[in-house]
Amino acid sequence: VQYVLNAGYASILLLLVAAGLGIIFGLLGVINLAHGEFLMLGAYGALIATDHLGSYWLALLVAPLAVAALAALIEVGLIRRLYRRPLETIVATWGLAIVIREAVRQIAGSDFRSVETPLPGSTHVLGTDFPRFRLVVMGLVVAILVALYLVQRLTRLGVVARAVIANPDLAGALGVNVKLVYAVTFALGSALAGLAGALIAPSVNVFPDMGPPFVITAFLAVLVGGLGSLLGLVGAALVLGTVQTSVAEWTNPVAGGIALLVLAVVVLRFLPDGLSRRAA
Amino acid sequence: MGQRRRRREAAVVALGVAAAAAASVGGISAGGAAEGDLKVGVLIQLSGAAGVFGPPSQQAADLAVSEINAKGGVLGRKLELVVADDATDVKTAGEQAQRLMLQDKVDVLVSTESSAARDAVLPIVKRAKGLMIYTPLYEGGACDPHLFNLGEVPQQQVAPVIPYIQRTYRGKKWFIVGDDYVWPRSLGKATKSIVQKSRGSVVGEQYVPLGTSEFGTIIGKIKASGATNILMTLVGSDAIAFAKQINDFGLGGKVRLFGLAMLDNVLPAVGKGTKGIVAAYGYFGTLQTPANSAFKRALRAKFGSKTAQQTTLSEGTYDAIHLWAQAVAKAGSADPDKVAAAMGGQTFKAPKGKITVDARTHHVAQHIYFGVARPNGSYRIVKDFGLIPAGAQCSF
Repeated sequence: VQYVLNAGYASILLLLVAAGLGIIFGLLGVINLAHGEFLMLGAYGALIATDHLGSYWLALLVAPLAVAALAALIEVGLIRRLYRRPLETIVATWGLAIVIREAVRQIAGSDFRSVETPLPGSTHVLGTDFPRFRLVVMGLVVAILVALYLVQRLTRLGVVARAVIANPDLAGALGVNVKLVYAVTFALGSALAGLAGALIAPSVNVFPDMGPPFVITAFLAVLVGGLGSLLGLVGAALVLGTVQTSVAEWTNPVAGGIALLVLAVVVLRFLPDGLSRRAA
Repeated sequence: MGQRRRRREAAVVALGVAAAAAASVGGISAGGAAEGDLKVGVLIQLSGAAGVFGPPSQQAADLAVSEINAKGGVLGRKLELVVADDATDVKTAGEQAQRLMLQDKVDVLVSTESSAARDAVLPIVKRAKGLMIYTPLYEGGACDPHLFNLGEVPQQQVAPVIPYIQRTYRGKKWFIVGDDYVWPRSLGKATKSIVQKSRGSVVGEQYVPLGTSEFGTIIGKIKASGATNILMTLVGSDAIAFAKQINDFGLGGKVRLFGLAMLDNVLPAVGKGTKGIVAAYGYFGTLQTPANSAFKRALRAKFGSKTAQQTTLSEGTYDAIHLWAQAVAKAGSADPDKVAAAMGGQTFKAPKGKITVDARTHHVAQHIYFGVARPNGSYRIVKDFGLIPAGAQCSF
């Protein structure tokens, strides 16, 4: 049973990181290689909230907002100039990632830092002991993603966003402020990375180079899930997270990592557009 | 569809770039050298995943060089320090070694890096007919006429400690957890035979890719195995994440966590949950000896508030430069062959205690200390296993 919870936790974290990436990718066509650095900033946000604001929980608000604000500035200053030029955005966001990483190294040093677990101890669930904080994280992420889905499906904002995905020029002609939609989307996707960083921080260690390992798997989830589809992404994250955890459980974690890559290759070979055939 | 296809291609490119991003390139250029100076090349990790280990090594090297120069240098020649950053990347390590040997033409190359980087650097040093001193704790058995190893080998860091832990904490079931590369794998093998000789048992063994931050699955296996002790060969951030999650899952203090690379500057990041963590090294920052106090005072005087926490890795960089300078003085020349011959039998009163280079094995005999982690993130040293030889690592 602990294995089910482990698989669930791995999938849900993957989903949160991938959701931000996927939203930006799906809507803007921008592959944000600085996503891991936004995650790292979120983790430092948790560090600052715990050490200076007095409560870790504030970080769950402050970190996403701060990252969103920074991302909005970056969108206006950099990303906006590169829409519809995917290869250039890769180079630009890669450079951005290095700049953010080194800036943090200059300010905070490369020391390993630590955020104390805000909810120590474990709870007895489904016949096994599982860390309390992880249960909270899982609940929180599911709630946020459900809210996100509902916004996308049921509100005017969601309609506008989907219109822009489907045809940005036509949406613009119909009076939609496409630029604003892009900026908000970029900020929102980045905020999710910031939130992920703040949620991950207590169970790992915080340092300037922590971002990239989280993002590589998330990229796979975005590709496997299909572009612009939140549901496809959920499916992909669940499948990838479960496969990785299961293979690690039955054999070893190295095989788990290999299984993950093999699965991604196989899916993309037979379903080149990912699990969801159509973008939302 | 066309646009989407293009996006997909871009995404695949992005994936490749992201993977390469982990390995960005770094380098620090050498200062102007006066003619006739002897050059000491130090190759360390100043950036990348292990970037936290370089700064204390750089300070230790800086201190060693300025101490030697304050006494007039060696053979009437001053030492000049050339520091290079391998960016925690094997390929960069090779490039930087190439630069140190061919461009800077250093008289000795001191390497405080991973085993994988050492294997990349050694052939370059050999081709340039140079001399190399490898300082970190490692798996043992790296033999070359032009290579000396100062770090703890399993015969020193693990062999005396396993029976001691079994006795002291009354538990003989071991679980081995490590990163998946040469050092942890070799240490796993060595540990299994040591545990067997100590009448303990290894109930599980798991390796994870470097950069793993999620250990729920492995901790589940550890719980199920009934292990009383964990031998951990995870490094850097992986070790911290593992130790924190051991606590989250309620095993903190219930199992002994013997971390082979949970160094003095890594432990604080575990936070308050340090219960059960133990370590054994040839040097601890908290070692209370006159030699270590003097070492720390000298660093403090030189670097002030920027003084980095010393570890067994970085202290080795300091010892390496002093030992080499002694050997140069004895040989009366900086010629690598003559210095190599003079290295054997050199004794140095290091901050860690007296160390002696064995001419036959090119390794050193050293004291091994046992430390228990305190909640404030430092080790309390509770035992000195005495001067322990490195065993039959090589035979020259």
